Amino acid sequence: MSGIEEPVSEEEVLQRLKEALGEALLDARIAGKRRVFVTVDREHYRTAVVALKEMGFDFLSAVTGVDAGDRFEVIAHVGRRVSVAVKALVPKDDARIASIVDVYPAAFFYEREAWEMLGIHFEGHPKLERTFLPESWPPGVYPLRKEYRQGSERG
Amino acid sequence: MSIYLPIGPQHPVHPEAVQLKLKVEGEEVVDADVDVSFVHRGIEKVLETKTYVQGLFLAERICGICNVAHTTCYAINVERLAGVEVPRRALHLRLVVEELARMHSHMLWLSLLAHVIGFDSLFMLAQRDRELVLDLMEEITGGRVITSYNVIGGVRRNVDAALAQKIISTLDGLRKRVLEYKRLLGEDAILRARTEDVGYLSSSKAVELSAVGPVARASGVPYDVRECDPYLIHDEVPFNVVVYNTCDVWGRAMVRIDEVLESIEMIRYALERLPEGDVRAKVPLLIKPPPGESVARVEAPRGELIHYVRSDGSEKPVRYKVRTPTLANLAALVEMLKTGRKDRPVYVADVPVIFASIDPCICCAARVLLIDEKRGSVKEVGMDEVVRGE
Repeated sequence: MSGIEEPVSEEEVLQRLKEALGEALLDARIAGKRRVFVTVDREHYRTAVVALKEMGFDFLSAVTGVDAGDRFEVIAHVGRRVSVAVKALVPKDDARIASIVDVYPAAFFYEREAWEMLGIHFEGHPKLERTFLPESWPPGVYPLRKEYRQGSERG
Repeated sequence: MSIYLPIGPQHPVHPEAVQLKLKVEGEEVVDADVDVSFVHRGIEKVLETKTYVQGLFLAERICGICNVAHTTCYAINVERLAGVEVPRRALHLRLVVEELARMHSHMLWLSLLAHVIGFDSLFMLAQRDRELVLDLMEEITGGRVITSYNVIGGVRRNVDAALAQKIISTLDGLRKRVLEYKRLLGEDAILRARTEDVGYLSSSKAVELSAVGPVARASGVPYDVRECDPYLIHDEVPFNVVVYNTCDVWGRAMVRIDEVLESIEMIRYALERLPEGDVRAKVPLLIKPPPGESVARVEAPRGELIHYVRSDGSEKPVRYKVRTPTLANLAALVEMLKTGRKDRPVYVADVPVIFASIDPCICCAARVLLIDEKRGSVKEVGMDEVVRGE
């Protein structure tokens, strides 16, 4: 491997994502140097991630799950030079989204983490099992959900 | 016939609570899995209940050795959210302390590798020389390992000309020692026999599994956040991204040794060009950044560290996400444990060396967890899992 072959300009990344997704791109912006944030609904999350992979991005930094109050958000952080955050909106009453493990195998542990902490189900993940929480942790309790209170907060 | 062999969570060669679940046939490892669910602290959840200034101290405690990387990452995120301009002198000093932290982390790692191999005189020597860096750290920051040096808006203490000179001359002396270690790694038959072709991770697998840090760079992947996404003054300071193509533990050792040498030059460069001015911008104690989000990445000693923060305009973050380099390298570790190289399978005796080679920090990787677990009979539980899982 000679070097890192990714698009280096934020504008180029944004332009190519617009071409690949068209209307499905709900929000897209350049947030400072080497930072691109895009938002899609969950049906187009995989399409966006695959588009990045085909652009030459071969590195997945992380997958973040967020409890945003009225909905969940799953954010895939892709890229070495430009860090592209693909944010997908996931409804709370149907917390499911497509897995990207087959696109980026590194998502294996990251999706497990989002599943354990927030209860977001990643469809197509080869082995969605406990990694981080202890075996004694009660099933169906998701600690990073806003309604979950830590011991010190319970009063 | 294969046998299930659990190593840990308590084991003399790795003091942190982790369990390696190995499937062995005779002396050969044929399959592996990792369990990191023993040291749960729930830091991400707690960060949602702290103000941005309080959070800095918690972020510092995600990892002892990498504390500088975590506070740098955290401070950059909050500064970007709140629009704080950091004085240039502070950026130089942040770089100096970050590289000193990388040096002592890599030297600690070298000593532990030597210890795992059974080369305890090298363990002692590397530990002795690491003390020189810790002494400098203490003079600059007041703390030897946990530094509390970064604050939102800059750094906490200044470095005067006399101290800058002392740092440079101490590191010049240290450079000779490090070169000696490099010679040793190149020439010592035992070190080479225990590390060469051990813990094989091909370049394609390193890319596929998104490995980071010295693990990726020893497999020929030239990924270094300092070069790809400069966050302090890395676009001004000349340095080389150290890459080896041996794809084994020996390469990971050489990457780290060479990086210590690079760090010395970077520190010298930054100190010789230390700009005049303040070392911190004035920021209020209660920071209320406008609603928004930010991603910060730094090159921690163990590899890429990424923090994500979301603000809703209040004094506390809505979400603070941390992905540490050890977690990123867990998949690569499993790959190393089960895949040998050509005619060299993975032996049980290689396992501690392979495990040590990613410089694992389990409390980092498992920081999201919530309570301490008290398991009774771990081995039986593990057996059941293997029966269920495979």
